[in-house]
Amino acid sequence: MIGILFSVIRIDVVLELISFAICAFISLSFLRAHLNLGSRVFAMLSAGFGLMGGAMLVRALIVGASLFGFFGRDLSRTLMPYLFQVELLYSFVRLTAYLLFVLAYVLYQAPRASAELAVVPPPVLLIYNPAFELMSVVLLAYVVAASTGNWRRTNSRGSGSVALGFWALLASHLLFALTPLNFILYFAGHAVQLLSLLLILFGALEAMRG
Amino acid sequence: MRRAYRSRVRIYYDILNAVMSEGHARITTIMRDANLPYDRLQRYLEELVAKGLLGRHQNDPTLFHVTDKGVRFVEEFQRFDRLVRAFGLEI
Repeated sequence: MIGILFSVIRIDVVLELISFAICAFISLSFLRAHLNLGSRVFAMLSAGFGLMGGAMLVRALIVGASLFGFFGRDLSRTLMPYLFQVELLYSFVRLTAYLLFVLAYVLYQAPRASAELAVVPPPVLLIYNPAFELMSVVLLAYVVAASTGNWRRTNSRGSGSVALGFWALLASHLLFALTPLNFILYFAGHAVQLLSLLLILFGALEAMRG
Repeated sequence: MRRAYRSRVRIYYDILNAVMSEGHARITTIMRDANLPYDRLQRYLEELVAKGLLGRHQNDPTLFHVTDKGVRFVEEFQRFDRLVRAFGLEI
């Protein structure tokens, strides 16, 4: 059973690596804007997406190396005891990224016109902590509300795509938090997380095209 | 949340945009269009000239024009302003 799960669970590593690439692209776009204009709002967004992407890359590589032996059995055995610490670090970094998003919305928001733990497979326990997922949901709720309000005001495709992206990101954390109810939710969470980043990327490109 | 002030980079943009819309502009025109008092505008104009974004007319130093670098700055600002506005934020 565990062997089958291990063979399936590689999908999450692949999805996370793709998500990392999208995060890196968005982060670099904001970094370029910061370097050209020197505005702090771009630095915050760049750091936020950069931290998200960095956490995804490190986690995907370490989970891949330890659980699937991507880089050999010796490294796998060495890394295995540290998976929990890696997961804690991953969660803290993701929360820091969301805090940066919240801070950007607090400081630079555009003006308005008006458990069934016993049956959970061991890899899932190592990979997700529902408490961190719920904290992410709380932080993202603010970002979702602000970006949705912006979409309603501007009614543009770019802002709509960004708002839907943040909705999807919030939904992905809810799915991760609910993973103990059904293992499929874990993979659904990764797919929705990837979709969220694609939506944010599309919104950013759409907005820059004008 | 409405901020009570404009960021430095937005003030740069407002000044450059004011000059660009006129082709060439004097301080009084820029003061009116960029909505800045004389003393602050003087400081920003010196900064923009020092950065090479704004130039003084050779025969009339009170007349300003936007340099090629300044035009590129305005274009970049507009592009990134659209980007950040898609997120519901402002520069």
